[in-house]
Amino acid sequence: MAHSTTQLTTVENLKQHVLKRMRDEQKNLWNQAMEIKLDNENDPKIKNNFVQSRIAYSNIISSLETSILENIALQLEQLSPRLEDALTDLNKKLKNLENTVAILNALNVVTNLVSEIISIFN
Amino acid sequence: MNIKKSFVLFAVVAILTTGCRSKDEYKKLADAGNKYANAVTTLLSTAGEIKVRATSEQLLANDQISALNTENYISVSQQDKNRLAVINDLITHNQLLQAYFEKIEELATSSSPDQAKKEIDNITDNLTEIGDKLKATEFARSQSLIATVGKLVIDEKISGVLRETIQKDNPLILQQLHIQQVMLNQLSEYIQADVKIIADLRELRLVMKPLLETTAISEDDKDKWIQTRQKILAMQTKSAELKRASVTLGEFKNMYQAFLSGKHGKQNLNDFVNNVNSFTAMVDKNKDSLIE
Repeated sequence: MAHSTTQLTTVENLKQHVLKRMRDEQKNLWNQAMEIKLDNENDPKIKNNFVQSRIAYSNIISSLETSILENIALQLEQLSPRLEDALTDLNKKLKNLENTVAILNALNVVTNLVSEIISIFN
Repeated sequence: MNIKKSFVLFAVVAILTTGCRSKDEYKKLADAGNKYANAVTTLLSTAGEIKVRATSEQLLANDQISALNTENYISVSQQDKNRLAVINDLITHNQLLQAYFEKIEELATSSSPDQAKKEIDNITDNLTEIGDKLKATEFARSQSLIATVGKLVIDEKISGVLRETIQKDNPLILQQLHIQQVMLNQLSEYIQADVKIIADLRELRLVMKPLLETTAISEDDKDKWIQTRQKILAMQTKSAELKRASVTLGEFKNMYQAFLSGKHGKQNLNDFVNNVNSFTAMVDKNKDSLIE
């Protein structure tokens, strides 16, 4: 069964909420005090575990952010065909304006001709 | 009805039926739209570059603590690639919007009126010549009026076409702008968070560590150290500016809506364009210091 719009909105809201919480925690993971503390840690196992956890954590944040942007891109993509139609229509209107000039140009040719003909007979 | 009267009547009818906005105002709207779309592309590209820079600093910081393996690098790098791919998609969609505003501008600045005026001038010259030969002096008197009214009618025709087009496409463009406003707000949050990471880690790497070494910073390197510290500490302020500017950019949606409902005039569009120009100049000026 397809998700309703309400459900999708809830998922987006959840992402936003989780992202905000995770970003708040990320500030503690990446501040200078933490770097200095880790630098002073002697146990390589602790250091490695921390780094691996930190990479996984940052990757999740990155995934969440990208998926929010992907949802936005999807919404824009759904509008693209209509925007392309609008552009095609605009091109036609421009062409019509040019045709107005073309009609005037044709009229100009006719009046030139009439003027020349009259000259012959005068 | 003679030619003079019928042309004037046609012009009056054309003006009355084509709405209140002049061609000039539509041109201003299109210009604002173009500048907005350009600025959005700039922001999107900058967001991508800042993201990669932040990830690079994090990789270095992690590697400093514990040696990274291939899997670590690939997993992190893949995140960057995914981000850049979606940013690329967003830029592509934005370019469609830009193409729309460029077409509106093309319509608004159409050389058709001037070209039409030239054709009308030629026609009236010919008519005058014919008139002289046929002694139809009424055409000679009407020459300048025909040319003036002809141009006015074409101008009003263009305004009418623009008004009709923009009204028709209004819901679609507003929808696009609304989605982009959400996107701009998101991007500005991401940029601010990434810049904080970059600033903190660079300060540690390039400012604190050299200072805390047992050996003092050499005389030759002192000026460079001072400049580096200056730039890094300024990064947070710049990213806050970028965030404010992104929010302002998103206000184009409200501006567009207000223009169409007749609430905003040319001055408001001028102010918006000035803000967008400042934004673009600010991004160009600060981008290097945010990502170098």
